[in-house]
Amino acid sequence: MGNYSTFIKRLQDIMRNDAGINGDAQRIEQIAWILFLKVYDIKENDWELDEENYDSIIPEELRWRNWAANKSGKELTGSQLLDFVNTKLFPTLKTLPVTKDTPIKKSIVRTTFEDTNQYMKDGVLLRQVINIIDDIDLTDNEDIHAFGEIYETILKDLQSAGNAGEFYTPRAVTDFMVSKIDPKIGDKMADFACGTGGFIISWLNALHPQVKTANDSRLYDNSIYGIEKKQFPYVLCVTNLLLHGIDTPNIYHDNSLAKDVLDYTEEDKFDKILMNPPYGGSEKADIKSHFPDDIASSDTADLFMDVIMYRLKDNGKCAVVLPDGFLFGTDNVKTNIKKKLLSEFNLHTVIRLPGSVFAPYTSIATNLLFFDKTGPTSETWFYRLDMPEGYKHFSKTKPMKREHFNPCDEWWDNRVEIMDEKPHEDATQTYKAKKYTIQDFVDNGYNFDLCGYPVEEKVILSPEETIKQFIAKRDSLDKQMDEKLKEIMDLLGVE
Amino acid sequence: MAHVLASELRESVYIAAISGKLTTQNPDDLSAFELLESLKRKKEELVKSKSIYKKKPTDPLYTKDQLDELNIPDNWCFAQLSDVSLIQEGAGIRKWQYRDNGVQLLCVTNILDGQVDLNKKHLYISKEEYEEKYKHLTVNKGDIVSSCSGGSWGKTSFYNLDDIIMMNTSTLRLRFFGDLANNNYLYMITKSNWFKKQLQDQLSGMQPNFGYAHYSRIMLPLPPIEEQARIVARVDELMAKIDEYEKLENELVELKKNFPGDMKAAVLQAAMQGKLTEQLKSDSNITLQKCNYPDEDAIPFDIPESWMWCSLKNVANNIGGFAFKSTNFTEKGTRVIRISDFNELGLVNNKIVRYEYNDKLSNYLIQNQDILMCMTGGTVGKNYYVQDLKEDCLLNQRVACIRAKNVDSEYLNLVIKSPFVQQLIVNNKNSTNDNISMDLINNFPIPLPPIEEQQRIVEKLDKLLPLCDALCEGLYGR
Repeated sequence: MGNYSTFIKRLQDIMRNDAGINGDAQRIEQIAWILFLKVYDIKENDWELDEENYDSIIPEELRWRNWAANKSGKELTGSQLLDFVNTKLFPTLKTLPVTKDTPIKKSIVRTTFEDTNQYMKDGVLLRQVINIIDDIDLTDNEDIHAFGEIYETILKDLQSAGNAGEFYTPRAVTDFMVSKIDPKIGDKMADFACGTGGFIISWLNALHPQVKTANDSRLYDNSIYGIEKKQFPYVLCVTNLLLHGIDTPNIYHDNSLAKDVLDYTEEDKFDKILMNPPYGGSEKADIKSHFPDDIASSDTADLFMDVIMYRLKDNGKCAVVLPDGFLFGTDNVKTNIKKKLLSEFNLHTVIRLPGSVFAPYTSIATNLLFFDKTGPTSETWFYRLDMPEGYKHFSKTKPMKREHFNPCDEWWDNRVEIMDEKPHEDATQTYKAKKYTIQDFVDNGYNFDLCGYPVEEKVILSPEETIKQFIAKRDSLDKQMDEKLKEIMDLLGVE
Repeated sequence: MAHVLASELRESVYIAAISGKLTTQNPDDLSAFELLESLKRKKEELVKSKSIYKKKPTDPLYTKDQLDELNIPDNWCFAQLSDVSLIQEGAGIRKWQYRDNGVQLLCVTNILDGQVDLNKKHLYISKEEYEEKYKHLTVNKGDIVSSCSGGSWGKTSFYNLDDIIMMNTSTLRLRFFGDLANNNYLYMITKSNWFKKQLQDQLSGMQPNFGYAHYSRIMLPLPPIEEQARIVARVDELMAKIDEYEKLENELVELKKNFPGDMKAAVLQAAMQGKLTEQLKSDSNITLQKCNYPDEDAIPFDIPESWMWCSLKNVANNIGGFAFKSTNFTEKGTRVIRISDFNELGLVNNKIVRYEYNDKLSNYLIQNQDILMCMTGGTVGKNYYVQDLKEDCLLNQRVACIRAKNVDSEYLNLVIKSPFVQQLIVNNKNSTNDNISMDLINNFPIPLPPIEEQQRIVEKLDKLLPLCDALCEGLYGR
């Protein structure tokens, strides 16, 4: 099968010559559906062996083994292949008969193809790509697992593929967060913005060693739940899970925010929630209407926080990635969301991450919030993870690794205050790690911007992020100033 | 809500305070009129016992009509400062009186707003001389001290230290006679424009140098003593809140000040990463063959596949200027461009220097579309994209000339101005005492797109950058 770089390079070289592929994101999207069909075909082999009367949902002549697999000399190519794919394969797969009762492992074929694009315009090149993918040896579990790793690396490339980077959370981060959330056999975990499935994979990896019995295995398979709104990452996620041995990927192609939060019942709740919601999105009235007014933010990330708060089981645990904007935003709605979080949940830890963790997709500063549903918050520990020695910033060639979290791991179980070195005598004392109480938050106007990074080299954000950050800070200051003026007017006895 | 500047807010609080608008008037309070009389009587006592000097009476600064405008409550009255408060100037101590130790002198520099800091200036006279001549100028605990001349006149503070000090020139102290009225109230008034304006109005063009003659004319509203305390409490409360407000306001001003620059940097950076333009298949391939690829660690960010990293020397001819001797400059001849002769906006025509041209200098002639960059001194890194040269100009030493060869010169200009190149200059100049080398310049990492995309980037930024500049205007109102 060769290794990752030759595999990817060969595909790149071929696809570069096709007029229909513009850029990395489209290239990966194209590879995604082809890979899905190949992987699905392999899986079907297993299912055919395990189940009597297994029927593929894919019509016989459209199955990978019958049109894509190498049968030297007889396979479709050129304009015939293009024709086949565009006028037969895609239309059929997009409209496969699927009902409520169709098992997930069959319905995913349709959901995968519903909005998928076939970009390539050159049938000969398409055949070459298909051949390379067909050559991947996935006959036994080891191969599948190995390819799963390659697949993960393909996903990582999304970080540099422009906007597609938003679907990918670095595995160092997902592994760290899963390690702190105590995965157990029997738990049900959820990611309502699962993207390419990073948290789910990290969860499964962490849970797998605990599987000892057949029952454990069943619970393991059924422990995951994901929702992804966009087609492209949905395909990637489903394929990702198939490659990781989950035959019935419990992933839904849906909008997590489009359901009334007050309608959720116990069955909709989860023991563990892990998520990196999209930031900077602006939701309209129709989505906001699913939330109580006081917490109906236009900010997508805020609404996801709301959803989490309505879907976490009692004694459940949650770990979520949120941008600085959430921490220091003090507009009314954000403040209400934070108040709800602090009064109904125990926000025990906030880890601040340096700006370049998501580079090159974005240099926005992010934070990990850990909370559980065991009662209200009395105190929260803040910890700032500093850049490791020898790194000025993370990048495509020098990404963040799991071991960069080691200082935090050591601190986690043995929490102490850590003071920063003062730049000069008169400077105010700042902290790398510190405990804050509920009263501190109230006094600080629910601004969680604590244990922050000392300002050094200016981080350049994208123009959009620069504007958003300016507006958020300006609005926050305006609001604080208005409140202060109101306090002054109250003192003056003015109505 | 429109935003009120903190200082305006403070002033309005002071006016409200001294016109009785912040407090309720209590008819059971002791009479302010009697308070005024008792203060006057105390003054007479002190003069008789020679504790203070008798001074020539001065006229109140304001007329009755002017005072009526303040509209104070009926049970208040007005008082002239010299009638109710000690006003004592410091002595004109001469240089030859200074000693290395002894009794410290209170100087203008020691008086900060709200605090006396004896460490800010150390001047002493001998203990003997103090005891012989200047004991009456001792600053007592609880006195209000003021700086009364020079640029920072008008600062006041209570003196609460244990050190024995005396007043030097340009300082002055105030205190209600016999402490019969509330000195906190007096102190508060000294901070207001009501008080300061009465001094300022007596300026009439001279250097600020106020003394007894001016302070004595100041009029102040005198409430009943109980109300004075109530007023002080209210003002303290409000000032604390206004201080908090001011902090926020300053943050906001800072934020708005930085925003246009941040936007420009973000736009430039995004342009350099290929994020503002489309990479078109129709663009030509980059033909640059010899390319000193900056090494891994030096690559600041990722660029699109159709682009390439190279060093500035691959796409431009870069030279330093000729080492003209300034003594050889002439009135007539070819103009020489030194560091001081240009800035980011163009040539500076204040002090033009010239030199007699000879052919050997032909290599140092500047052309349109060159980029000049300062390599030394306080303005190191400043650069100018040359346009509209009106005459021949020669390049002086420590000015670099970057002449594009395989790249669009306007695009190159944008790259030079981008945050990542500027940061390289800043980092380098900090470690080498404001100097950058030709070597550094030659090795600037340059992200190189196809020529067509270079032009698209120039077009795009020509539209975007002026918009960012325009963010400066009108930002301070809202």
